[in-house]
Amino acid sequence: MSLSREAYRALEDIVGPENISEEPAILDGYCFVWANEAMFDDRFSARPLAVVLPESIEQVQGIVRVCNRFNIQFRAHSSGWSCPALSSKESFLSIDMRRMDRIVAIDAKNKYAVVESYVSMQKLFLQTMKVGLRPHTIGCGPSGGILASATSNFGCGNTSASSDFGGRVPLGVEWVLPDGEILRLGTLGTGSGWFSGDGPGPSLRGIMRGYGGATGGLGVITRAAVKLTPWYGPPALKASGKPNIYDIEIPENFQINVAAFPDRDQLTDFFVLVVEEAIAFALHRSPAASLAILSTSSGDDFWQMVSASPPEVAEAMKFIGVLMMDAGSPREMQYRYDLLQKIMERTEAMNFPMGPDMMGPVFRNLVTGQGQQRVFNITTGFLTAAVNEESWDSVKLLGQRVAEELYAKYEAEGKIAITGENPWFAPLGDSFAHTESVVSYDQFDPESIKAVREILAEADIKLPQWHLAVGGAEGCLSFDEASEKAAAPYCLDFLGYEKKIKKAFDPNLVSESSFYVKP
Amino acid sequence: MVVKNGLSNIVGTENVIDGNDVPGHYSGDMSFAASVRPQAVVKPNTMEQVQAIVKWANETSTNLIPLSSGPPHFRGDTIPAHEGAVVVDLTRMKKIIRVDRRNRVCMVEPGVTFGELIPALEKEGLAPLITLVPRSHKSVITSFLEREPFTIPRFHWEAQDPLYCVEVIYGSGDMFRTGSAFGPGTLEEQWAAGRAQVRGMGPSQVDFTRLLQGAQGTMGIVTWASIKCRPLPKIKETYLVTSDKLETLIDFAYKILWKKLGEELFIVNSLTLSAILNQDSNKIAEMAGSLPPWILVYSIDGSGLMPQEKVDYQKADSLELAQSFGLELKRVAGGASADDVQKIISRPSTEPYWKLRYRGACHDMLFLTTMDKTPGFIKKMHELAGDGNYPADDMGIYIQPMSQGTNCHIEFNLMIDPENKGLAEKVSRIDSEGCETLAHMGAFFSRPYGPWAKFAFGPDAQTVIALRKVKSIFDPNGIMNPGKLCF
Repeated sequence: MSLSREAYRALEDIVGPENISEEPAILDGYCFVWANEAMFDDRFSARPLAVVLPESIEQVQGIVRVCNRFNIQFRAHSSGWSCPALSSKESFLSIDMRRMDRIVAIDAKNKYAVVESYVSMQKLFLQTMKVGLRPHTIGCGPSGGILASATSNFGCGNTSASSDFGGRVPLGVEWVLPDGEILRLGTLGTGSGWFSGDGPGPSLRGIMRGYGGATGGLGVITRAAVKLTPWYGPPALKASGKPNIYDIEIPENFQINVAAFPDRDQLTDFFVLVVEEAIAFALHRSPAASLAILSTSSGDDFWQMVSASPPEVAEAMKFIGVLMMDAGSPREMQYRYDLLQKIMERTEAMNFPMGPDMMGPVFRNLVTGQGQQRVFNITTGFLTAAVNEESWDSVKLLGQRVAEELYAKYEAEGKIAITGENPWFAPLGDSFAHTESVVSYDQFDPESIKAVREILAEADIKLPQWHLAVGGAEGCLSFDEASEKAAAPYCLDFLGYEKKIKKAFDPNLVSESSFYVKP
Repeated sequence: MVVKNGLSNIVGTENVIDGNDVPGHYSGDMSFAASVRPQAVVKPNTMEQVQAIVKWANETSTNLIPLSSGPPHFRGDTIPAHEGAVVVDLTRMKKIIRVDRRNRVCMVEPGVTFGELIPALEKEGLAPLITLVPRSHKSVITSFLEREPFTIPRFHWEAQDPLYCVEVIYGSGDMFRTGSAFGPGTLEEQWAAGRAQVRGMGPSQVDFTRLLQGAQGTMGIVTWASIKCRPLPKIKETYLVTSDKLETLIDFAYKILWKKLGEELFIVNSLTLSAILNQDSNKIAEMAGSLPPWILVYSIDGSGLMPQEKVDYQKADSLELAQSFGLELKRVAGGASADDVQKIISRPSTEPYWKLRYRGACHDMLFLTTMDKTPGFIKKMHELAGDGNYPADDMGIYIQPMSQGTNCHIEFNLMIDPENKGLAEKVSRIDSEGCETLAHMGAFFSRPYGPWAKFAFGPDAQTVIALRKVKSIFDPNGIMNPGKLCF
């Protein structure tokens, strides 16, 4: 498939010849997508029709209008890390937002920043930490786009206990709708600035995204304000070490505790108490392997460390919680430390000793999100087959059942790698919990890929039956017709409404919908 | 008669009022909305009855006006814009369906007031997030559907809080549950699996709850909601921080919010604090005269495993902070006691409602801005009052940080003698003309009641177009509270 010459010239007129390409060598760079084989049973995503690089909202609007005129499917992406950014079975026009990378404003007093689509979490953090603030960070790491997680995709990470779920931080938003019109949410629409995204009247943020984002299926977000959270650390972090294991000096008013629990109930109680007491900067349940991932620089090193560990260590690390506390004063840190001792006593927690070599990488991971991506080192590919946000007890149960009733069989057959019951879970703000059960698979092994595809399909069927989640149908990674059908008997017809919304806001169905509903 | 029969078949004759029997408070309120008598009032008490009413309304092309709070009303949003409407009065729906201590959440029907919810939560060791001394008949659900601010910004992470999931009968007649309540399974099955309806987002890629907030009943009728609660404090210390300069208190508030200290945090002028504390208009005037012009109300909760230690460290940090601004954490100021303030702001208002005590009636002007911009708006409101010959000393002012300090609600309470028609006309003029002036200054009328809608939506055609698309999906026949917002 290719663009008509007329359509190509229309796009070229908008962005200039240097910012559009349909050269195969260039386009193939947009085809290598994490987990494409698990989503679409193909190592590479479909080659885009072309790639276009706008630098302003006017150019984005022009591109979208051309797409409507010539009936061209488009999808925009920023860093492109996540599978829904690029992955597809069918070709579409890829809008690469990398030229829109400006931090427009930081309002330190009112704790928000205005950024364009391609600004990464780390780029923003480096600026906001100078004024005592930080953005939310998510598990994909510091190079991920700040707006992607806030406005268009999933958004949670180690610091979500203090900085909230990405989907809850947008304020004013500038949005090119699928029909080419520009919608400005909240205060931006009335010319009042960027400080609120809700209203007047019903909040159209509810159309922009829900629990999941529209993942490119409902236009292009070009700028948005995001809420920031206090940062009590220094205006710059001191890094040392060699690639790819960096160390960061831990500031005095930060403290890391890794605790091991006798069982999942005590671990869960620990999370409930820590969240209610509001003492966490970062908090997550860590798969036992994650500490090894952070402290090893390659897959070989990782497996060497795992195989050298005595079985009793693995058993002791079965239920691990990682907490980092920050404090605005020495008094606060003392109070938090004392309180943590009480909580640990109540939940029968044991401090898990970590050497100084481990502390820096763990701190870096907790603050920036960098490091966890080395999960690819385990077996080259991974997926989170069961994702949900709800109460602590329900995510605990989900992790347990997924491990025992979905993963165990495949692990025993050696088709996937997990290390026992290992969901990652973390609080989102002060209200609820998030969980992801990670499956590591070998993207070069057809049997392993087949296994992970089967797991995704089984999850779609079993999760609703357990009344715990609805698998891919809530816009995670495996959103497809099968997941919709599996969820439908157990749920109210949310997809029916979503399809009406899609039709109302994208009348020509040009905003590519592999990861959004199709009417 | 046809209407009465149709509705009586659904809820029973005793729960339908029509014709001249419809009490006056359904026809008009304390706003400047034109008085329009509904043809009937219907009082369902189950979701099924509400659904049957909405289906009946679609069949008979009857407009419905949902209402959950008892009188007096202030905003005009529950007064029909057109003749022939039926008011759906939900005040009989008073079930507190569930209180879940571990997940700090309650599930209530729309008729539940703060006064009814507080003791039910206390039994479980919880407290509600409460708006500033709400009127005694005010519905908890309506407060948060309308995005009214509550007094503890630390728990207000963003605009949707503290509302999680709702059950709604859309204008189409379809029942839906938002957030994680959509499924899988029934509520009972979800509870059995440990779920608690604490995820307000979604389901899937749409925030359905958010589309109902600020809607003034134009999308559907909510029949229950799950709402975030907070731990019941075991001990509590409240302080009054006073200043002649609002800017100083604002800078202090910004710093407290950045340090994430304390719980209740808001700023009022002397008249508002006095009206909250006193019943008698003379005493209100007397205390307002003896208080400093601006008071920041600030409290620290001792809850959890180390309540006293928490209060102690936060008090010490707060004292240092206050001193750095040349401020004091006072227990008494101008005859007002911090303990009295704390007791009063933890409950609904006693009768008469505090806004009515000073002059007998009150008209509110409210919008969102950022705290650093509030002095400019206050100056402008004083100018507008002067130009309109309204006594600025009769104007209460309330500034509530929201979204953990990212923005704030500001509210001007223009207190008036209801018998003084001339003054009421002046206030009406200030309201309509002032709204335009304030909007041009950047005031964001996120909850645009009555004439404010013109200025909230006027500059933004795309928002109107988008909202009308949403409306056509959930209320295709346009029966839900027509004439409000941009519908």
